[in-house]
Amino acid sequence: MEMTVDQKVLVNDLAGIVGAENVIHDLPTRITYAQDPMPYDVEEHNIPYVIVRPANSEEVSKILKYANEKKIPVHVRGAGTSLVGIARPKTNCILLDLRRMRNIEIYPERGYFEAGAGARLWEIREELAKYNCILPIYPGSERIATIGGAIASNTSAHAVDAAFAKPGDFVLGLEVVLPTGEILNTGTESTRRPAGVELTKLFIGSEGLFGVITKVRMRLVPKIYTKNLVAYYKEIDDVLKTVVDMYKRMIPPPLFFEFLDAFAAKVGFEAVGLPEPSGPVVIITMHDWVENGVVEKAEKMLSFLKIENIIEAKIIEDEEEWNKIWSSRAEVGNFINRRWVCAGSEITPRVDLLPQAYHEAVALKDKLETYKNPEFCSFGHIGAPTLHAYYMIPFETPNDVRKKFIMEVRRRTEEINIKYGGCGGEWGITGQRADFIKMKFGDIYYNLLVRIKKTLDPNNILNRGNLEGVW
Amino acid sequence: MDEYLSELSRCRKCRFCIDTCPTFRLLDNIENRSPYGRIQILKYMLKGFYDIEDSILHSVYTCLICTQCNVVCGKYGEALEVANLVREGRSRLSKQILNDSLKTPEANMLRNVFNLFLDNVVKKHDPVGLTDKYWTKWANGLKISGNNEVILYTSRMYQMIPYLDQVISLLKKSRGMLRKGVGRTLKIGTWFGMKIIGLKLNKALVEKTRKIVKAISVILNKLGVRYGYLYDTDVYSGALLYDLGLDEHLKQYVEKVYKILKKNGVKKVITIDPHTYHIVRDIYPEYIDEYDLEAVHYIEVLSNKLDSLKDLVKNKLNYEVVIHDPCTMSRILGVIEEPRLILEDLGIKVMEPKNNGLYTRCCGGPIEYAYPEFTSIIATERVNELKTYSNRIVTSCPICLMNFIKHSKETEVEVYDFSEILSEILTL
Repeated sequence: MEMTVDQKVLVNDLAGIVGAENVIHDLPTRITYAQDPMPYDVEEHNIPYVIVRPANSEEVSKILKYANEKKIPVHVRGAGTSLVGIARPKTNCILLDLRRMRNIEIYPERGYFEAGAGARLWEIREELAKYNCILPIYPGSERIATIGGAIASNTSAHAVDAAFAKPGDFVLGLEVVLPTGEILNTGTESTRRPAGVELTKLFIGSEGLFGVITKVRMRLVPKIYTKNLVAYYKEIDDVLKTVVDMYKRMIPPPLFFEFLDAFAAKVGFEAVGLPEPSGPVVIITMHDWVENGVVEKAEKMLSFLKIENIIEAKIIEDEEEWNKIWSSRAEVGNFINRRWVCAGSEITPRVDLLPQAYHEAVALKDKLETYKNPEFCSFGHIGAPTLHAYYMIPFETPNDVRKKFIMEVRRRTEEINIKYGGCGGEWGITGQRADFIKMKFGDIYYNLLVRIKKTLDPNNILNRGNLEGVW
Repeated sequence: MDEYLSELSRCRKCRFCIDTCPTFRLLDNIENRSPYGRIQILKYMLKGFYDIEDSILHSVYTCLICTQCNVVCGKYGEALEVANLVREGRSRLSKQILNDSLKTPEANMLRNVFNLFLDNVVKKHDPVGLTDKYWTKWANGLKISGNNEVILYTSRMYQMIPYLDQVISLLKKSRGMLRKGVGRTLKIGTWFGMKIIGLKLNKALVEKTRKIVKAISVILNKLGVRYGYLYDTDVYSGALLYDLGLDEHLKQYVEKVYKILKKNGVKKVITIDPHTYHIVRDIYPEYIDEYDLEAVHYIEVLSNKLDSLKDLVKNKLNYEVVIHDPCTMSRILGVIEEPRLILEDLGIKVMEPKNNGLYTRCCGGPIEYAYPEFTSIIATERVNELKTYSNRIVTSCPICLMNFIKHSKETEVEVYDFSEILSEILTL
């Protein structure tokens, strides 16, 4: 790899900050860290010079000061699971791995917990459960996703936003290291979040552009009760109408509102050993902080579903049956990922335009140019509304075609987003979506973002390329 | 594309496996010591992004082959046999390590350790290289009267534990030298042979392991199972060679063992540890045409004779134990319910740890030959987890047993082999 910096000097200097054992510089490991879930290989310009693993915010500060002074790019990411390419470095860089900073402290008497950026959602959830609390963040990657990554992308993931809002809305304060090395503490230690001008929100969802989140303080959320429903449909259009009607009729928002199209329902149900449905399936979870509340909400949802055009809808009381139904969704992901290279999309239209957006996503299958007539299926958090339309091509497809195909699907599904009023959802908005920002919001908006970034990061060291849309 | 590479390439890089891997979770959370990392490192190596170097060896040989990643990948990923892919990677790397072309510290260390094991296994039919009557002493005073159609196949595993324990600490002490490449100047086996003579064995451990094998033998007898024992030719199965990917040597060795067994008229082996059971049942057939040996584990045999077993009860022990499923036993061999059925039927209360059955956690043992510090961390974590259920741990693998015993003092637990519990309850 052609180096614009002297790797030996860099390793040595960083070892002076974090200790030699926390600077990884062998090529195989650097490539491992550069690789993200994109189905095409890492290229030379993606490979970090080093992986550096600081133990605390002071070390992060020293690293950033050093990098800023030398103008060396720094890439920060959580567990590296971004589905829009945010986790893959766009330029040779220092890759900051915050997994050593994963302390979790729960303060029930203060009404919050604090966690180091590298703490895994799964671990936090398990710790919180001991205090009868939940973590209101539900990504499929929760086993490994870090709280730093979740807050930096502000993803509500599977959850319907109307149920819990975004995770950032639970954040009381952050510890952030600026690209120039200053350590900033934002927010409050009270459960009362400040109204008015307050910088916490600037860093929530900033995708590593404005600073490195090193610690998160979040409000404790009491345990919830849930009730689950399933509805079987003849036609996808009836599913889409149900979502539109749900918002229009002010039905209490569900925590989860998933759907499987007819193909997905067939393979998902088959995988978990349930009878094959004849059409699409909707899977819903209602929640409340009191048990009676959730019973009432579930009944209300059931009555609503019954006036829609369905084959059958019911509340599932049997835990085993529910586990199967819920797992069927993950099984669809397994099914398609085991057979094809999948280009996923995230289409989040204005609710009333969901039906049109859906049909456009289906029609796109026949219009793609980089690979003709891919396989198609769709599922996702339709009640959010989020539509994950998948365009799938054979494993044998060469690396360069895979990359072009992924990029085309991204661009053209973002066009659908723009046409129907959507803007990202749970996957974040830079990386492969940088062009989307320009297309949707125009130059003034984009340039403003660039100026904010420049104010905080004058040498553009942090996550360089993600805002520029460089590949 | 090479079939192996295309299998590695199926990994969709979801990384959902990483935190189930003990060498990721417990050792600083570094991705190259995770299933995901190992798959990627091997994939990019085969794609020609880099040549073999120490970081690759470190990544690939720190894998415990505990197969916990296989379960996760089966549930959330591409259902790759991740651990098997890593083992296959070892098979390719081990050839290079042994051919002396790599002079790096990690390669030197691995080569020396491999050579030591190979020398011993090939010449003396066990990894520690003993020729004396040590292996068969457990059977002194026993009348093993069956013919050899069915044999009790110890594969020297339990007997080996006190030596293995010492050999590993010797390897640990000599690591600096091994990494420099002592093997090229002084034949490692010779050097080691000299050292091994002076080893002071842990007498209690010798006694314990002998009792374990003896108890198994006696219980089978009492249940009317007829079997023979090959004494001096009850040789090691070669399981370690398989784990280390020393496939060419394994092939020769397996053929040798098979010949010995056939020559003695063996048709069926009753194994007493999971590693031997696995290799004889699942791996030997890959190397031997028209393989016709039947293999079974003694716990399976016992579980089919529960009524007769109950008739042997002497003491109703009113206590509870926490059960530790050995990885190979549960995830590879699928022997999960049988030990529980037996213990519960005999009146023992079996406590189930959260990570049990298919989700059991590794004892760390499989990488102790080269990375004993890692093993120590992994074993301690597991013992501490088990301890929250009961301070009496029961397991059925000699490697788990050895590693847990090592940490039993500081964690204040008692570690028993499955057969030890039985011998306390039954009239033998």
